[in-house]
Amino acid sequence: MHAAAIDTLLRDVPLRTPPTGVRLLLTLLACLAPLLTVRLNVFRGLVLVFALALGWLVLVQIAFNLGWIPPVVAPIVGLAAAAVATAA
Amino acid sequence: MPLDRQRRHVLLVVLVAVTTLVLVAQVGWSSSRSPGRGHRRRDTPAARRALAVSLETCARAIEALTDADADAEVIVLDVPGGRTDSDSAFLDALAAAPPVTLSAVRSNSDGAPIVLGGSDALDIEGVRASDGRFDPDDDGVVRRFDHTLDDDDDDDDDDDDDDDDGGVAATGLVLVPTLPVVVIEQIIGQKLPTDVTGSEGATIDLPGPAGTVTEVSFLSLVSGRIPAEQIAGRVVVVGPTRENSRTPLTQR
Repeated sequence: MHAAAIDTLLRDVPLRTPPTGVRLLLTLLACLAPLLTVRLNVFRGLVLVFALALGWLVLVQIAFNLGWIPPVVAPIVGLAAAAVATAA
Repeated sequence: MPLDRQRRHVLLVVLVAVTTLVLVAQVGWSSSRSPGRGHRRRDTPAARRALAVSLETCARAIEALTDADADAEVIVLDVPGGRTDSDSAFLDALAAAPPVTLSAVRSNSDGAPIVLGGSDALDIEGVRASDGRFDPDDDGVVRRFDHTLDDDDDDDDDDDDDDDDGGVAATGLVLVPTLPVVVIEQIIGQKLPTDVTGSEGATIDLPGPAGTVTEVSFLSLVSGRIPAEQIAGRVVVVGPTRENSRTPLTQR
């Protein structure tokens, strides 16, 4: 582990975590995204939520490849919970 | 109130509740990841005792790494020492070696880090002490490291050890940069800024599970069976290959 940590510093810390404010904003947007489905029927709303979740995971992977570690669990949980709340 | 409007009102309340819940959970999680938030260090006394290697053997390891053909760039000894450590052969080996980083996980009552070779070792030019501890997240997994660990709260599970050693702690290590920081400082020959690891610590970019980084046995090293080209110009970490802490890649 020490060797990996030394290597990380030698490469100028290639993996970065966005600031807390940015992470919270992303989670907030994920929670509010299901509002887009309010005017859709349940099936279309479900498809849209899945598409948003999938799109977010793709974006996260791209960001990770670029050296950033965006939040994953909180936005997805927020998106799912808000989607269920909206559907109900 | 019309039904549609009432429904919208309920929806709004539920959404606000869900959003608040998720954000609060994320803030709580982020806070628990910040340095110095009361995590327990995972360097248990039993694990440290298991690393005990005689100073004479360590001296031979340093000599093997200092050999004219080998000539490591920096030698890291991740082998915590005892307070009474002192050995002239070890000190001579340190004096002849390239820059050496010594790992400490405890400090004396006066705040001095306890390293292999004792305080005499730290008087040698090119030899520096470093904080060899990691600060795991609440789930016990090490993901990051800091420039310095800003408090000492590891004594919950070290009470027995304290009794054995006469009250040593790690409070003095708050002034000592962590091992990777000291190694880089020795390579570049200047101090790194304290924010080099960011406010929440630098995420360790693990190359793979245990064994990915080239490992050679200690016995092979001290018996001179390691080819010089495998050492020359490299940072060599002498320490346990089996980690005491879990990483995101540790097999459960």
